[in-house]
Formats: sequence, structure tokens, C-alpha cells
Amino acid sequence: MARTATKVNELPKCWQTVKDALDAGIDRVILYGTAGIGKTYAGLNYGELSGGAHRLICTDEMTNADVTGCWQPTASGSWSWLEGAGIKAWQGNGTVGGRLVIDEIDKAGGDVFATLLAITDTPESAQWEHPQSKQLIKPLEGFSVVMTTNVEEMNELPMALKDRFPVAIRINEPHPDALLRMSEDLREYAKQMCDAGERRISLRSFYAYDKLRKALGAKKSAEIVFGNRAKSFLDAIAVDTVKKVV
Amino acid sequence: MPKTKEDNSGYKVVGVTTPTQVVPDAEMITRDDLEGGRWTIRATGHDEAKSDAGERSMFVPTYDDEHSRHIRAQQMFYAKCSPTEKQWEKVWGKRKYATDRALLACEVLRITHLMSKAGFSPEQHLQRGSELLDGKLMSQHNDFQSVVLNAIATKGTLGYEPFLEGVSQHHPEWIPVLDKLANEATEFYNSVDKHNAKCREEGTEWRIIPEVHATGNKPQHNGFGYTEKLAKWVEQVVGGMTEEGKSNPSIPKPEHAKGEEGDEGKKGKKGKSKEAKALAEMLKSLGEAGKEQRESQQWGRGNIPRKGVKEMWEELRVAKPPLVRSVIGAIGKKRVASATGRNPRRMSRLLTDPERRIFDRTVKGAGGVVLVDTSGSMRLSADQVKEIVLHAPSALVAMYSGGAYKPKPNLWVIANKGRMVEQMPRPNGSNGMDYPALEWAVKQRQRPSSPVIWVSDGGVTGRHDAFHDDLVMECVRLCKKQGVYVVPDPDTAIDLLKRLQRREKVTSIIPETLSQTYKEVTGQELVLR
Repeated sequence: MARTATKVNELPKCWQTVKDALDAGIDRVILYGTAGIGKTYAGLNYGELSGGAHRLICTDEMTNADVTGCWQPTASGSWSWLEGAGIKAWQGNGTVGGRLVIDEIDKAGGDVFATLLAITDTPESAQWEHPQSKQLIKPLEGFSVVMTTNVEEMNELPMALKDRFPVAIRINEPHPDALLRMSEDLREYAKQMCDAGERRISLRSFYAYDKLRKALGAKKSAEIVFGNRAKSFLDAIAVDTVKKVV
Repeated sequence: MPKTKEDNSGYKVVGVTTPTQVVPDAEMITRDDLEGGRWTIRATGHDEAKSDAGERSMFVPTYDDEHSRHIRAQQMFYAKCSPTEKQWEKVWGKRKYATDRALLACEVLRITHLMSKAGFSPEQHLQRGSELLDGKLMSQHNDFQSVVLNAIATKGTLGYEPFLEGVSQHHPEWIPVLDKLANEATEFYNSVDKHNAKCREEGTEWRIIPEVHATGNKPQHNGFGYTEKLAKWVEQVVGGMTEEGKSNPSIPKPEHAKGEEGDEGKKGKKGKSKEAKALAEMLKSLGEAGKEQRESQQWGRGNIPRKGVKEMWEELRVAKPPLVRSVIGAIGKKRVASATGRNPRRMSRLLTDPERRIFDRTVKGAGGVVLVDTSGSMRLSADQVKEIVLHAPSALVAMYSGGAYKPKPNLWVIANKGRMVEQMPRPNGSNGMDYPALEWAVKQRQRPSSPVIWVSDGGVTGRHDAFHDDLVMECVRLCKKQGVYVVPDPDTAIDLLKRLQRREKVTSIIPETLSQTYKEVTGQELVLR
């Protein structure tokens, strides 16, 4: 099994592209592809991050409060404005703009989506009036956005979003750091199965299987983690290694 | 009372459940020669399973039972180890060490071998279901070649015994031969595993050869090379199997079916001792040949040939110099006396011939093609070649000799249709392209019955004048298949041509190099037309 010994130190092509793009100062990037392979991790860690990184997880139920902020009562009985992740990222550390990581933007509702479009607009067009100070806030130099989504095809995203994010990178391999956490013999399979469409097996399942098999053996662990799929999973390993799985 | 489902049409559906579907995890398969990716997997019947790793598509039964599971495993192994369709077209299909049929059968055995090694039980769960009938029909039609290949393909599976049972209904005497052959074939793959295991045990990893399941990008690093080697051996042992599946004369003739006795039955009895003897000899030679085959491997680097047989030959470049001189002879078109006709040309026959054949009738010559090897080892002078030409008047005579750089020709047509060249071309010196020249000669014959005569000492070589058994065997196979007469020198060639002119029965005088190589490779005597 020559290719099973995954070279974990080598950055796969898709990840290298992400790194190169962010290091080069590209400030609007969409990372799309299957779930659980480290897209958010890259958004929070790659590139210039001296302004800090702020994460926003989109759901149907979320409101603009998460993006721009909301009023909240203070201990003195008055109200103060609590800034949302979008505004925080605009302001960064006060000198340099921060990074806004928007997860699963395709799941955001219409209102939030419109606000996110405004927040992620070009620095020249983007501005927001602070409800408390009435100050006109603009994104600071260095503000960047990394958007992640689990859609498989870019066509599934709205045109307005695609316009704002000219660089879209499909992530089809787990990040090597994530693979390092499991036994070497499973790394290649984990890598392959992350992008197996409807037959996908998540990294988390591999972690669980890897941990369990040390105590319970391959067969029982596979049954616990993969259920009905255990047999075909073990058969595939037996075929690939040309060895009986014990 | 249990409730039953009812659809819109009002029919009650009783006892119908959705079966559990098991889909193979083909994405987990890794190969050295292909990138991973998503697979298209579709459910299909048991006898329609197929896969192509190049297209990443697989058709397999998806039921949750052992039989289906083994078919899935078999297809997974094909996807893991076998050449893709593109690789077949580009590389393996062109190498021509063995016929496609033999390669297919030996590849099935390789897959079965790997399945057993990976802990599957093909001997308990893998069968097509039609093996008994296949064996019965193939033996009934005396198709020994197909029987051998099927025995190899089913060896190690649940279908092997039923297949032999089917064969035994018409040819029980074939069973020991088939069993021996199939065992030797299995042992061939085992020997690769044993060699590598021994190397690991002894700490001599540098001697390790590609594994049976290896998928290296180059043929010499790919496990399919073993399939190719085995297929070649099987064909050589069984003897000149052809793509068309023609029966081989050296294969034992059929025993007459029960119930058809009588006169034929008596003949059958008479022939039976010969058949039994032939089978016994074959059985003996099988064991020896199999052992020799494995021992001769010497399991080292270069064990799987880098190039295909076809690539080992020089390119054929035919020259047709002007044929300016007439050759008068008797083998070609000639006039003979006839009792009917338009112009009476033989009036004297009115008195001398009781049948009064005063007219002429044109009789066409037998034609034929004479191919003369003019390499250095033949030591032919221009006069000797000319002598051959003069004894083959209406035939097409060509001489060949390789070793020249492109675009210099390596085959010259020196005589055709009663005319020949003024001056003999100067040969290049080596052989290099005996097979392409033979193939060309066979294509040139005027009629299917026209004889093809190959004048050669059998010192067959390929590019750079390199000798190889495979090259000799390819020439031998062609000669056997096309009924080429082989003679070693000009004298025997002239003698054969004279006898052909007299319409006498002639046979090849096989050069020693050919017969020796054939004997070494197959363990059998070479018989040519």
C-alpha cells in the first residue's frame, strides 16, 4: 500500500492555494467543500491576523445582532450597544482590520444575508452608523473575510456573493494537521473518504474508530462506529492492504 | 390480524420489505498509478458485475449476503490491481505476450489469489452459477482450450468443482490435466509471495520483487506482469492457442460420447490408448514445465519484461526495386494441351494423342511466397539467393535483413510474377524483424492455398540483434497458425521448391534453433507443416 503512508508534512494542493492566497493579501475568499475537513481552521489561522479573527456561524434562526450588534442592558440600568462579529472584525485591533470567518453562509436567512453582503462589500462602499455614538464606521485597512460553505458546487451560491468573493477554492482534502491526530494506516482512507460524496465518512468517525480499535479490535469498533457499513469498511481495508483485518 | 400496506390501485402488498443495501467503499482503494476520487457505484445483478478504476465506476450486487459480498470484493480487487481500460489500450493490450483470452483467465486467478490472501473465502462463496453447464458444453464440443482457461479462471472459487464435474461428463480423462495445470498456475502466484516473504525474513529486502498486487506505473513494476507471464506459460504448455479458439492438433481428441458407440465406438477404443498416452505425457510435462517455469524465474529484477514483444522488433521497411529480368520456369502460369479451345496450336497431337488435345489451356501456377533470411548467420551469397529465385519462378521472393537505420529498407522484393531484379540488394547484416517480415509474407500470398516458405536458420533476433525466447516463440506461433514451411538453408529450400513444382507432399525441415527453443519453453517437440 504505497500511497497509504500519507505525507503529512506536505501541504495538499488545495490547502497550499488557500495559504498562498491569504498570505498574498487576498481579502475575500470562499472556501467550499465537504464538512469537517478544516475550512474554518484555515480561516482562523492562515494569513495576516494581527487584527484578530472573529467567527460567525450562520443558521436560519440568527439575526443581524450577530453581525452588527445589539442593545443590551447594563448594570447601571441603561443600555449599551454590544458589537457583533462583523463590526468587531471591521475595527480589528483599532489599527489594523481583523478577519471575519463566516461559516455556512448558505444557511443564513434573507435579512442576515443582506447585512452580510453589506459588511463584506468593498471597503470604499462599506460603512455603518453606530447606533450609540452615531459615528460612521468603515472597515479598517487589513480587514479580510473568509467564508466557508459545505456546498459542493459554486453555482449553488447566490451571484451577489460570488461577485464579492472572486477567489473561491474547493477544499477536497482534510488539513494535514487534522490527519496527524490519527494512526498512520488510517490517514489515507480518512483523506479519501472525506470527499466521497454521499458515502463520505467524517474525520470524527475515523478518530472514534482509531481510538476504539486499540481496545476492542477492528471488527467490533467498526460495528460500533459505522453500524451497517462496518463490513464494507473492513472489506475495503482488507482489499487495499491485501491482508486480513484483525 | 396484521395490517398490510395498500397502494393507490387498491392492491395489497404483503411481505414486501426493502432489502438492506451494502455499497462498497471503493474510494478507500489506493493505487500507485491512479489518483483517488469519487466513484460511481450502481447496483446490478450477480453476473453483470464490472468495474473500471480509470473511470471510477463499479457495477456490483448490493445485497447483504456472503455471495454478493464476495462479488463486491472481487470487483474491488479488480479496481485495486487490474489495468484500467486506458492502460489496457495503451500498454498491456499491445505487448502481445499472450492472447486476450488467456490474460483474462489468468487475471481472474490472480484476483482470486489476492482475495484468499486478504481473508475472503472465494472457495466457499464465489461462483457464477453456470460453471457446471459451461464445463459440460465446452467438453461436449471438444473445446480443450476454453476448458483449460475456464479451469484456471475458476480455480480457488466455489465454481471450480462444478466446472470439473461438467467437463467430466464428456471428458473425464481431462480432469487430472486440468487440475494439475490449475494447481501449477496457483503455485505460480504463491511463489512470488513466498520469494518476497523469504527476502523479508532473511533481511535481503533489496531482492524483493513487485508484489502480486503491485500497481506500478511501469510494466516491470506492475503485478499484471505476472498475469502476463502466467498466461504466456499456459498457452505455451497447452500449445499454440489462437485468438479464434481453433482446436490444436496436439490436444487429445474427444472420447466418443456414451450412446454413440458402434463402429465409432470401436474407433474410439482404438484411439483411446493414443489419447491416454498423449494425456499421460502432457500430465508429466505439465509438472516439469511448471517447476521449470518457476525455477527459471530466478526472481530478480527485470523479471517482468519492460517492453512488449511487438516493441522488441525492428520496424519493417519494404523496398521494391525494379524487376527487370524474366524468370522462366514451370511453377508459374503455363499452357497445357486441351481437347477444347479456340486456336488449335498442337496439330501434331491429332496423330499422337489418343485424346486429340490440339488446343491450349492456361494453367495458373501455385504462386507462393518465399522469404529469405539474409542475415549474417545464414552466410548466403548473392548467387545462392539468385538460385532460390530461379527455382521459384511465379512466386514472390523477398529477402530481409535488419540492423539498418531508418529510412534504409530491411526487406526487398527481389522477384515477383516471373520477373526479378537485375542485381541482388546488399543485406544489412542482422535479423531484427523476422516476425514482421513473416507477417508481411503471409499477407502477400496470392491465394489462401499458396505456400509460404521461410528460408532461415531460426536465429531470430529483435532490435539491436538481441535474442529472446519470446521472439522465437512468436515466429513459431505464426508459422504454426499460417502453415508456413520452414527450411534452414538454400539447398533444402531449392529441394522443397522442386518438390512443390512436382506437386509432391512436402514438410518443413525445422532449424535446430527453433526446435530447441520450442522444446525448452514448452517441453514439447515442435511440429510444423
